[in-house]
Amino acid sequence: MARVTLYGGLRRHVSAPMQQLDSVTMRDAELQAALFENDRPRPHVRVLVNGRNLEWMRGLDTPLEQDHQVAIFPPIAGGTP
Amino acid sequence: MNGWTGKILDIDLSDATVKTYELDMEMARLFLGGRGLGARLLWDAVGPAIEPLSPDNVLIFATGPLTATGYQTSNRFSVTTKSPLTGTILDANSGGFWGMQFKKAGYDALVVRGRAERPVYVEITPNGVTIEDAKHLWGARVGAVTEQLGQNDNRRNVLCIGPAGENLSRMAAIMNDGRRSLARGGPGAVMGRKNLKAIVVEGKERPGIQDHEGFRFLLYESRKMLRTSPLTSQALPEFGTAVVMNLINHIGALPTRNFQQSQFEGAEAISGEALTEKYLVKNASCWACPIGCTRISRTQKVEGEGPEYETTWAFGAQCGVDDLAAIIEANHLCNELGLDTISTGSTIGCAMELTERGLLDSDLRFGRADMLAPAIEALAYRRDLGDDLADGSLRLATKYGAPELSMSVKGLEMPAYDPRGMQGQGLLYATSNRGACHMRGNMLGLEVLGLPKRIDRFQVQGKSSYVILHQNIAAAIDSLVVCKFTHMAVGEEYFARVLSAVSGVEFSTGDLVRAGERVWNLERMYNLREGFTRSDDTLPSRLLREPLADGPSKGWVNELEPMLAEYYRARGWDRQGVPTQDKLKELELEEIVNSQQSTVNSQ
Ligand code: SF4
Repeated sequence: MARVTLYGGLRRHVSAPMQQLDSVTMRDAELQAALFENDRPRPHVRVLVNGRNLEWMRGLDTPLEQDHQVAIFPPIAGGTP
Repeated sequence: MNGWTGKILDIDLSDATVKTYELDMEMARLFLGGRGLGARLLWDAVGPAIEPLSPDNVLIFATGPLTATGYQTSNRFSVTTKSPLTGTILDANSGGFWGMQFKKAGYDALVVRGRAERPVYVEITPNGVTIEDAKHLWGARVGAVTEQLGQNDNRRNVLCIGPAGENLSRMAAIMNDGRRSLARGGPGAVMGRKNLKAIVVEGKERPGIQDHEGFRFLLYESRKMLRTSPLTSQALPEFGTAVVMNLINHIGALPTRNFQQSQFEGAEAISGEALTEKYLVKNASCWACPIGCTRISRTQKVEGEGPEYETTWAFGAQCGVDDLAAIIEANHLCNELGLDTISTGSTIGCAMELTERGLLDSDLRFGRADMLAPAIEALAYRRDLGDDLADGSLRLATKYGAPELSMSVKGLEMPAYDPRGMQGQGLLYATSNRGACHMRGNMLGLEVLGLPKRIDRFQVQGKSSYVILHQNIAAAIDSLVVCKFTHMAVGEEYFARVLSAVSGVEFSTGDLVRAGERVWNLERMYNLREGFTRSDDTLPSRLLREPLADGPSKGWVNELEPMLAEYYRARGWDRQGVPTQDKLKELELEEIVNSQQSTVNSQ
C-alpha cells in the first residue's frame, strides 16, 4: 500500500501524520474535501508522488503502486526574509 | 517630492565630522532607495583601489521611499558596502524597527566613512548627531549592547555588531533591534574595522504622503489581499519559514552534508512542524507587518527569535545534525555574536567534509551537534581553527587544498536549495551580484511552490527569462523597501501604485521593474569594474559535474552553461556578460558608468 504523509496544518485532521492508503488513485485519498475542489487540488495544495508533483504526472489519475510515497502539503511558503 | 526626506547624513569617523547634504532627486527617481540608492552611492564612493577592510570602504545604510510610511511591511532598510567575504558589491537588508526609526529621524541614508581611533557609537536623535565613546561596550554581545543602549521598539532603536564584527570575521552580520540582521557578506566586519560598535536612532516625524486618500485605499486593498492569501494569512504565521523543509526534502533538493546528498533523513526532526510543536513560544512581527512570520522559540538553555528555514538547514542538514534544540541554540549564539547563520553553518559543514576526507585535523564531523556551539564561538573570536572558519568556506577549503569543497558562488555560501534539483535556482545563484543568494528572485516560488505559476524545476530552456524578471522585481522591492513576503499576496503593480501615491510622481509597473533592472545592471558594472568576469558566474564543480546519486533529482547536475548563455542574451549583455552600451543607454546608466569609470580609473 502506498504511504501518505501529511504536512503542516493538515496534521490537525488526522491522528498520525503518516497514513496507509489502500486504494489505487488519489481520488480515494482521505481528507478529499479538505484537499480538493472540483476534482483539482485546492490552490496552493501540493501533492507529490515520490517527490514529483502530480501536475507533472497524470494528475489525480496517477496510478499508485505499493511502494509509492505520497506527500501532501497545505499552502506553505518559506525562505528567509 | 514626498517619499524621500531629501537628506543624506554623512559621518567621517576619522575626523569625527558630521555632514548633511541633499539627496539628488533625479538619483532618487532612478534608483528609488535602499539597495538601489546604496549601489548608486557606492559606485562613486568606493572604487577598485579600496580594499573591503580598509577604513576607506564605506557603509551606506539606506531606507526607501516606502519605509516608515505605514504601508504593510514598510519597516525595511539596507546596508551597502564592498564585501570583505566576496569582494563584490554587497547589500544586505533587514526588517524589525530600526529602518523605520532612522527614516523618522529625517534621513534617507547614512554614509559612514573612515575609522575612529577608539571604539565609538553614533547616536542620532531629534537633538542632533553625536559620536560617543564605546569603550564600555566593546567586547559585549548583541543582547547586552542593545539593552544597555536603551532599545525600545517604537521609540529608540539600536543597531550594533557583536564580537564577530570586532574580530573582523568575514561573515559578521550587523544586528538591529537585538534580533534582526543585515547578515550576508560580512558587513559587520566593515563596521568592526571602523571601530563602530553601534548606531542608535530616535525619530519623531513620519514621512509625508502626497495622495492620502489613494494611499489609504491601497493600504486597505493590500490588507485584504494579505488576509485572503492562505500563504500570508495562514502558512507563514502558523509554521514560519522552516515549514518548507519537508517539501524541499521530498523533491530531493535539500542540500545535505555539504551538498553530498539532496535528501536528509533527519528533515522531519528539524522541520517547521517540529519547531512549532516542540519549541514555539509565540509569533512576532516587524513594524507594520500583519503577516508575523517570526518565531520566538525556547529550549532549556535559550529563548529568542528564529530560527528561519535557511538557518535550520545550515546547522541541520548541511552539518548532518538532526537535533533541533542544538540548532535553535546555534542560531541564538550567532545572533548574540553577530554572525550570518547561512555562511557560518555552511562553512562548518565544509570543515566537516574536509575533516572526513582527511584534509583537516579537527573534531568537526557530520552529525556532531555538540560541536556547533564551540565552533561558532571559536569562529567569532578567531580562536584556533576558528581563525580559518572566520574567513569563509572558500578561503578555508583553499587553504586545506580542496577549494572545490566550498559550496559558494563568488565566495558567498549557498543557501538551502540544491541547484541540481532546481535548475533555475542554479542560474540565480551563479548570476547573483553579491554571490549565491536566494533573496534575489528566489525560484522557490516558481520551481517548487507554483507561485505565481508552476514551471518544471528540471526545465533548462527558457528559464533565464523567469530568473531575470524575478531578479529585477526583487531589486525593485529591495529599493522601496518592503518585505518580499508581501509579494506572495500583493503584485508588483500595487507597489508601483503605492509608490505613486506616496511620492506624487506617476510610476507605472514597468517603471518600477525597470528601476530594478537598472539597479541590477549597475551592480553588475560595479563587479566588472572590480575585475569579476564571466568565469565567476559559475557554481561549485560538484553541482556541475557530480550527478545526484539518489532521490527524486537522481541523475541531475545543474545545466548552467546553456542557461547562462541564454541569460546574457536576454539581459542585453555581450557573450562575456558585459552590458552593452545600448543596454546602459536604455537604462539611463551610460553617463553614470562612463563618467565615473574614468574618474575612478584616473584616481
Ligand atoms: S513577513 Fe516576517 S520578515 Fe517580513 S516584515 Fe513580516 S514579520 Fe518581518
